[in-house]
Amino acid sequence: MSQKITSYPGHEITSDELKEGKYLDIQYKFVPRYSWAAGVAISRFLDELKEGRIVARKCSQCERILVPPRMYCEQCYRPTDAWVQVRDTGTVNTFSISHVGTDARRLKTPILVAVVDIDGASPGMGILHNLGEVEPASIRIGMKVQAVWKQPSERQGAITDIRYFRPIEA
Amino acid sequence: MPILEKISQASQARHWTDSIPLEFHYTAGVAGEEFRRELKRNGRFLASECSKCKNSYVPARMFCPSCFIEMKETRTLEEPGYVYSYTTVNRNRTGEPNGPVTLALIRFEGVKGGIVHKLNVSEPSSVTFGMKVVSILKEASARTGALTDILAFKPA
Amino acid sequence: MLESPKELSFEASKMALDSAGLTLKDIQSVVSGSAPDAFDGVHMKGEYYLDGMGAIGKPHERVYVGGGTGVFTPIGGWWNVASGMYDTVLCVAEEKMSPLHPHPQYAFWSIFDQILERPLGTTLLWIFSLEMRRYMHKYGIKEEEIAEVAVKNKGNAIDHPSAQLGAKITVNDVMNSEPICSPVKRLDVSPPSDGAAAVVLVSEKVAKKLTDEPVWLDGVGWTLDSTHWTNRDLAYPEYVEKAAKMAYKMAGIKNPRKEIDIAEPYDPFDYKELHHLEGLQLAGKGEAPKMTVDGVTQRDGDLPVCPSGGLLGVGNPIAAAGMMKICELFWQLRGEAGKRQVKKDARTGVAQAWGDLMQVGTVAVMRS
Repeated sequence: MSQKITSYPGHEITSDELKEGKYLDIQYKFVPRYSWAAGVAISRFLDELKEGRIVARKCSQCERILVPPRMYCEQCYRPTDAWVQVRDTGTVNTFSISHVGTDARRLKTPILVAVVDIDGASPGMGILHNLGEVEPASIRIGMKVQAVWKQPSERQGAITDIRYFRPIEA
Repeated sequence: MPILEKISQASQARHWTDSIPLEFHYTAGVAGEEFRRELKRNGRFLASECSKCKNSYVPARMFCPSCFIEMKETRTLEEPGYVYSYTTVNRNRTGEPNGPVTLALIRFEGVKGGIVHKLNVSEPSSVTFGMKVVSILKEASARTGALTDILAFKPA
Repeated sequence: MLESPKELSFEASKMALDSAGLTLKDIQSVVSGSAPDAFDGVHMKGEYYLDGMGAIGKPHERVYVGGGTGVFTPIGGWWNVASGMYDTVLCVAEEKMSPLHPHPQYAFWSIFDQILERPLGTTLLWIFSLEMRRYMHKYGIKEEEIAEVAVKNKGNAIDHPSAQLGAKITVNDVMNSEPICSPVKRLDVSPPSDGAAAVVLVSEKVAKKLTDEPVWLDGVGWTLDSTHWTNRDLAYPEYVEKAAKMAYKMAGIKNPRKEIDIAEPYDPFDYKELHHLEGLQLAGKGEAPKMTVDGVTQRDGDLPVCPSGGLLGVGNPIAAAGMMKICELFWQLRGEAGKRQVKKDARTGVAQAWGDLMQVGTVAVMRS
């Protein structure tokens, strides 16, 4: 059957050719604004971040303590039962040194990124955040870290109320 | 069993405001590129013709949607178009008063497809179905091959 | 590419029809697949591109599970045929990523949680580098072993007529390439691409009229995990395992390592091919790197993997890349892959795609 296909069509063009105006491309910028409702669990989570605390939800059936908190347990498929304050310390589950920004442009100073498993939550309950006050080469999986908070007056009820996590000195 | 705890006061509900800004640089495609070049260079509309069903389409396209074969023949439309349908708009995209602007779907005799554009008329009520119209174009030097090279259509 | 999404779709659809010796009139329904609208930059792109897929006036559905869409598209076609609704279904996957500026990566920012993750300045590369690091850590895998996948796939792609990045490279080239999001380096990653790919699925009775050597879609499987990806074991894709087991059960495969002759797992990054081979039960946990280093996954090996050249070599027009794998198995299982033909007599193959917020596995088992 494939012998009936004698050519593979397509006109390749390069980004330089587009920049030089070889083709009549059309450009649009699209900047829609959104206001996303945080919902029941994350509204409370954000309020607690503003106070310098991390909170979780507990499912009394599987006994997991869930971070980020959710009002239902996706495993037991039932409502979660209680708010639990967890610690602002944790363990680096995995990390990366990012030389690119959101739009893939190269950064002068790399961003340090990690999944931090939060102490007091169930094992493996990590959140995504940044690392700071650490040399990239000395970051290790399993490293103990603690949240560095913004000043109370600067906090706005956002994940960025935690500036980053830094290593806890041994 | 539903969620056990609800937000009882609106003041407890949080929201997060941000954007998903996106920038696109579209190519017009193989046939679209030809259509735009003809508009830019010669101020004419390019149509494609199907070798099998003999239908033609404007703007030019690469393949015949009914025969599902490539259309290699093109021709420029020399005759005036006609008003297939029209509307008058009194507000802009964000809803503020603006206009009136009369818009029409312009078709061409014996050709499928068409072009939606502004219609320059002194009185919206003077527009009629089938009214012959011609395009008003920008100067050749100012044309980029965009549909905005056409300033509007006007009665022929 | 210059082609518009409609035109890309037309080219692929027409080739599939020509290959099958059919015309559009013979097709009863169309199933299409494409990843986020943000790439082509057309909201409701399924409705926009459908005339390029010959779907005007026909039952048409667009299926979508992010990067898993390519293999999900023939699964959608399978529903159409297996349900008894239709005998002939055209399945087309399309993606045009180049319109998005300054880089298609940008669209991935908005798949992250808008409140808890996006404010940190996320890129999709983070998720890959975090997963790759965890995988290496758990099983003691070296970056050099992972780089072997990029070397193999880019080399295989030299023989693919539609390849974007076919090249003869070395492990050193990968190791010395620009660090992008460590441990991910420039040559560990597939490129953004424009493309389309298509197949025709027909019922058994029609297949026997069209050819003496049909390729059967014998098993399909797909599952999704939660978007709470930071709560997940990042070293092993359990959702791929579940999808694979579903497909194997349907195809009557009891021992995949013995019964699967050839595999086209999803390889947007080199370590993902390894991750997925393990999820597909074709290698033990943490054992896929050694298989690769030992040459088992080469075209002349015991289990050829990505003989097409994969996403790393052929390119990664997301949904079309997954469908490209289905096309490759079709050619390989019929012995029509030309220079890419594997050495062994391949009769049973598996294709797999992966995506969304690292949470979906889509699997198809094919036999000749």
